[in-house]
Amino acid sequence: MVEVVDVASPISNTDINGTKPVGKIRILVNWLANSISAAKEFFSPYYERFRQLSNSGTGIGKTAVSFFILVISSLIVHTNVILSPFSNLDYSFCIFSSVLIVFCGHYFAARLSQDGRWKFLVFLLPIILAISLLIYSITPINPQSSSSFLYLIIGYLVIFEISLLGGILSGEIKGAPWLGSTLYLKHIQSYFQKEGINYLFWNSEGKIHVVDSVRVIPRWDERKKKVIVRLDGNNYPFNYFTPVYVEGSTYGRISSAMTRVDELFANLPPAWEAAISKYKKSLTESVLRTSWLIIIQFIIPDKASSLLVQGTRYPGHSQRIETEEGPFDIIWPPPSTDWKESNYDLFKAPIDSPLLNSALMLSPGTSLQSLEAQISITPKDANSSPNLSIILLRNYLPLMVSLYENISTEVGRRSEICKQSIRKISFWYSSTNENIFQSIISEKTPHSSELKASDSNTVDYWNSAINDSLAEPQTKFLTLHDNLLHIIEESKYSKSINGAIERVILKCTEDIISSGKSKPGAPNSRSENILLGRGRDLGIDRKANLLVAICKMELIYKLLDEHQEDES
Amino acid sequence: MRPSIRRSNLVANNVEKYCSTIRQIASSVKELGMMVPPDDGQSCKDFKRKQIYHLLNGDLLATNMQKTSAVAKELLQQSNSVESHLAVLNLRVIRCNHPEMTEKNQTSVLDIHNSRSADWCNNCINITSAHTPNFTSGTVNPFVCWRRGQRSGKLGFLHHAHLKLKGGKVILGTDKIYTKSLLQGMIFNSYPNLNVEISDRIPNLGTSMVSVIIMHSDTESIVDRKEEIKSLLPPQMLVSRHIDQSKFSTIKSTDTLTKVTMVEELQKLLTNLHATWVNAISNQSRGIIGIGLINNGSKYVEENLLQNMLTTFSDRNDLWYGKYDLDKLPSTLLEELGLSSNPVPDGCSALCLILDTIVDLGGI
Repeated sequence: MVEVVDVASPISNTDINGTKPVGKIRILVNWLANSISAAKEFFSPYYERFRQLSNSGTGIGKTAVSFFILVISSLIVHTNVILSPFSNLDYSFCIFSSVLIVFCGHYFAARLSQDGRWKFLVFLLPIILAISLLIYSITPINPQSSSSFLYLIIGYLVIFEISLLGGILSGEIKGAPWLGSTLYLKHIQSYFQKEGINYLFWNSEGKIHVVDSVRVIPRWDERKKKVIVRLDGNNYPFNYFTPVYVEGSTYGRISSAMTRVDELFANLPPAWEAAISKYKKSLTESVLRTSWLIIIQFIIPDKASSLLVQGTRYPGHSQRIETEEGPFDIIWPPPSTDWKESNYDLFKAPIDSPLLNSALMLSPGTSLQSLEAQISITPKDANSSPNLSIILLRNYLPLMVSLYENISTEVGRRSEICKQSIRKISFWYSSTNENIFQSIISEKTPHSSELKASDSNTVDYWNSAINDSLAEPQTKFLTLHDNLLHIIEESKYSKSINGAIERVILKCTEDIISSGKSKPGAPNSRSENILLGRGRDLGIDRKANLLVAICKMELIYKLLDEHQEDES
Repeated sequence: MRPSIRRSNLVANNVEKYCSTIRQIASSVKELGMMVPPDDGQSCKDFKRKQIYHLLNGDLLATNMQKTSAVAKELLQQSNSVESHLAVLNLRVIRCNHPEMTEKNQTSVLDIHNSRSADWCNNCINITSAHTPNFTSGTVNPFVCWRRGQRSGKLGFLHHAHLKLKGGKVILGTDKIYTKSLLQGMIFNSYPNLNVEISDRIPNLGTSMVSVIIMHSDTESIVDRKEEIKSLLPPQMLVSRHIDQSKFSTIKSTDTLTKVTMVEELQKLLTNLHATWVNAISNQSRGIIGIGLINNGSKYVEENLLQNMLTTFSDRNDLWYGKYDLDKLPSTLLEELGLSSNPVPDGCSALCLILDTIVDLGGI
């Protein structure tokens, strides 16, 4: 202490000439500071890399493998060698440390097994230790030799690693999805039969079955990382199955049992939440998927005006669906999220994928033409290719979904315009006998047998088109008007198609013009304000007619455009 | 007398059917006129585009409801641009070539649509040689303005019909109607039974409105008297056992009765067609504005009977009339009228009835 004071004191370290003598301690301090700085510089990249979070990809499987390898190699060494690395360990210290490490491993199981920074400790080090033990068991060295200290260290490390891995495994097992299968079957699905709940199974080909809950045994697929169900020799994702109440047999009524299932989930202990969460999520997804499928596979192709009930969005009334067991009326809630979000979270389909394919969660590249042909407009001429009907359907579905999503419960111009548009366009689409589509799709023109993804406009495209149409409808109308007339002038379509296109344009124009006319005898509604320049305020009826006209012309243009490309 | 009454009725039905076809075409032209510009110039396209824009906006453009005003007059003087409102659209813009048209003229397009004001469009026909069809130089439609020029070719048509003498009856029927694809679609839309075709072989198709009647006057005038009497007896509840086969052998009628009847019926046809086309596609339509008779060695045409009738009719209605020989006309004109040696065989003639191509620019 005195010496430190002496060295530190500038007075005591100054000689007669006033120069500062460099003390040994100062030299030591400087050396230490430099060493620390150099070490810091050396380890800095490693530290930075360590700080970066990454997924190790180890998971419970690899952790279990490294645990068992280490245990087995330890047993081999312990039984084969007289003086094993565990012979000279301090057992009281080992027990104390092991308990502590097991606790830490259990508590931080998820982080240790998933975080890439711990990969060396959780996966690589146990393997290295196991290899070392196996080498030791083959060529035992005299523990009295100079390397005995090293073996003591290995012994402690093996004990600590086994404790850590054991802790991690116990922690992972607590939240393991595969454990959830048992919990789900025993505490959720066991009530189904008693409460008359079945599963509505909607496969990726659009076929619907009512399945007895006893036949459905969901289990966790570690490889696919999702809950699957094996039914009739095939594996299906669990979100294809949704719990329903079925009243009566054919022509009976189906309604969602999800509210009751949610109650059953709510009654489970919170500790099981993690294990069973995948199952609950699958069921929630199945309800959303079913909502979209009812809209896309049944309501829109059949009668899109059913999307509206008393001016609001469906439901409120039942919808007829065809199951493999016969027709049923189904009451179902509307989709809880919009199409874009549903596709991003659940369907995970490419953005330009046909809507029906996406909602059915069909694998990319798989064809669904038979179902599409079944729900699209049937050509009068049986020899006609169904492809044009399918292209039309693929454009019509996203248009209707887009209009449907623009309807809100609040009273607003946009919502009202979209409601009117749904009614008028769906009526026009479904009146196939007088429809232009019948003329086009029944035309005996060679058409590509391969349908392309670009055959359909996306929901985003229609959203954008609707926005444009509401902002500047006249310009959009005139563009399509000119494009269609140009097609008539330039192409080699039959006079029936040309006439039908012109009829649509003319009728649309007349509808728009007449929507602003006052009824005979009614007072003139043309106020001073309008004359002074507020004529651009077109009014809901006129805007709705403009939007309807634009959508109709866009559908026709898309169909003819594709047609023309194929012909060329 | 009875056979002639019956024959007259038959022709009347034919004429009515013929005029009905023309009326149906006119209706389709009028509808299409709402959608497409009558001229192929960019300014006319802009005008039509602006017009539809305003219609969509709710600004009705009914010509008969529009009025000129002091403000409009002032704007008319200042502007030479394309405006959708007819009151501020100068005649210069629509390429009016009326002889009284001068650089300083301030007549609006609305003025010429209004029959109460200076009736420029009505007087424009045959006012000078530049406003008259000229078959020798190959001109069918001499006009260049937006109303009568039809330079877009979208609204015009070529109507082919035939007039034959068969079994002592005058038969009139439509053969084909040639249009561009837009008008073809529009006609098919409303009248699918009409035989409308598009043809690449007819130059300037759609720039005029012409009905060509091919007259087969010398080809057959055979009357089967036995059949005629046989058809007359049953409706009168009469039966005859004395119809001698030898007395009623088929004889060739060479009397002038049939030919006189044919001229009479042709006159009825012209009168009816003229009345049909007046007000057909515009309130200012003058009906038939010219008649061209093209002969391919028909003796019937050379006779005074037919020519007198045509001259009288054209003089009475102030129409252009010309008679030509087929082989002396330019081939371009014959192609434009769809005439070659095939539809007008030797001994036949073609009566070209040139209809007024005037359209209203006021939209609806």
